[in-house]
Amino acid sequence: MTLWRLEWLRLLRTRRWIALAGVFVFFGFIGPATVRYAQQIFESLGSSDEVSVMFPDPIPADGVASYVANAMQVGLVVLAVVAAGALCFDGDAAYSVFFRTRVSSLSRLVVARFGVSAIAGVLAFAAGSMAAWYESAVLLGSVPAREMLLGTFLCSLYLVFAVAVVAFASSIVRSKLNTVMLSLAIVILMPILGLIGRLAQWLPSRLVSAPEMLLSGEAVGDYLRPAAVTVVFSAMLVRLAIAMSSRREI
Amino acid sequence: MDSEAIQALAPAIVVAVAFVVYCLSRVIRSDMPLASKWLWAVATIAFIPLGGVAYLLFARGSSGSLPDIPLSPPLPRVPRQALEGIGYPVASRGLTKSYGSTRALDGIDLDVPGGSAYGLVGPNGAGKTTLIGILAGLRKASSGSMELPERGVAVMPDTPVFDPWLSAREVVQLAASLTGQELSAGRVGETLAEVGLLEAAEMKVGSFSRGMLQRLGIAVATVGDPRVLLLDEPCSALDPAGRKDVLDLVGRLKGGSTVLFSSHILADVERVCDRVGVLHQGRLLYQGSLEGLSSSRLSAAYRIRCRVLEDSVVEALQAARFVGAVHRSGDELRVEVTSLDEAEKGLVRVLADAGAAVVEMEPLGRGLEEAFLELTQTSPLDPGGGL
Repeated sequence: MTLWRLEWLRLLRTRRWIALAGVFVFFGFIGPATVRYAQQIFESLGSSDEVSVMFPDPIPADGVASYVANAMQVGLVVLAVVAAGALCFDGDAAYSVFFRTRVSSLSRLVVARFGVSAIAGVLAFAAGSMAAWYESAVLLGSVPAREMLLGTFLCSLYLVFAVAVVAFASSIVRSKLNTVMLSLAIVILMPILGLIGRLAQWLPSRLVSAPEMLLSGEAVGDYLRPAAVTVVFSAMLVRLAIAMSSRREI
Repeated sequence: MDSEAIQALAPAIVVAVAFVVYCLSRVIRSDMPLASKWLWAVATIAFIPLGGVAYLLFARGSSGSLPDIPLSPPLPRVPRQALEGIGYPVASRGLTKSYGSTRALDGIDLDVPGGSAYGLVGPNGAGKTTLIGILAGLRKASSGSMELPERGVAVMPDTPVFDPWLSAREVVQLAASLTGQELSAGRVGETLAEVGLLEAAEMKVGSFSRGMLQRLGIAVATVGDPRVLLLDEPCSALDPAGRKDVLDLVGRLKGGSTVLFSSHILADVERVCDRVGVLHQGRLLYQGSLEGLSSSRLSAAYRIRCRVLEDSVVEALQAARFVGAVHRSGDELRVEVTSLDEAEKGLVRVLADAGAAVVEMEPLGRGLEEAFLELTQTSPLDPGGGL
């Protein structure tokens, strides 16, 4: 029973993987369909003779963008909750004692919990992307495979960063609720920081737009800087989480 | 609806329906109150998929009730090589822990002999858990020094907490793995049998009572035969039978391991410990043998039974300068003396001079509890006095 296996069991036995995969896959199917039938949905909600709303003809990128928008809101919150469930091991002192007095280094504990949460988030997002891909292809037109896969990969990097933020937050506060709140506050702060000059071009939050923009013809090179920053920030956040957790008293 | 829409929406509908059905089946099977079940069921259907997601992430109460399984008594533990005579594997000098202006520990000089069972006693808030936390490396001392083996120190908290979805067997395997060992299935079974949990080996820990959790806590603490065991109130949640089992186990552990366990139940300490440390308001008031604790705090008294007790005997005793008080009950006297030394030399002569027909006479020792109470209610003893 290794720490990695323990984390997989946590996902499986607590059924958190179903919540995680369920929300991403659901929005993967619903996102493109919502875009495709936006006009009909709007009209069914009650139209007025005086006001007429015309939706432009949707393109495949709109369907994928709709999925990513939902995934990066609701999906991100669910991922933060799942990750906090694994990473807030100091939330209960007696629980923490079991691990802290046995592991040779706290990094083993943090890395396993971060790693499995991040992998689960990436797999769930990828499953949702596949659903969005299928749905967009059927309803909106063909979706280029290369751009779709690259966009999914870049967005996955952002999710890994989000889990690293949760790891960092869990080393500052102890309870799961506080960890989730702090993590989301940090993640929400990113786009606000992006308002400063050209900072947005470097921030991890830029990766969120990659799936849509790559499908719309933007070059992948535009995302190399934020991707590199995301990888470096993620590693730094995990390292900080280990250092701060190691210094924490129980 | 055209075929394109059916082709697109069919998988979405299948996924959504499967998700809702799965969540509803879990809601129905859970052991939460009926009203909560209805609320979750409505939320799951009304808010697809968020209702179901919220249920899977946050709902509680599906752990099931505690099964009625008989716990067998612990099996004897195979003794390890004795550690007696290896000095003090657990020792501290001037250990202090402050929280702001409050001193939780104040200059603790701890000496726990190798292979002994050391009882750390004190009322709630005395600093026992803080001291064990520092010894375990979970807290940092404000000042002072301590010595412990670098490896092989196991800790059990007051109420151990494990992931509720693991079985007892898996918890033991995990404990072994974390300390770099692999236990065979047979050895895991033996470890659980030693604490009387063999029948519960495959049960999920979430359904364990607090007493069972403490037994499991001791089982995982003993995995890998640690050199030092730090047990924080290991019997606090156990019924008398469970307490006896755990104390017997602690008794068998000493010798092979050095056991330090905290308790505010003096009878438990008296039962298994060779040595005792009395902690009160962060200070170690006494450290030494149990006998030493009792004898050092004796306010000496004698019980004297006479065949026929004359009033003149009582008066003669009351007149003796080393006698503090005389309590009479029928033909029996309880004589409290102010000086044990003088009483030993003069009490018999006083009785003889008064013509007392003494049938029985014995010094009255006091229990650990009385000594402890007196110690924690009066000025501190010299910490080294008992050694």
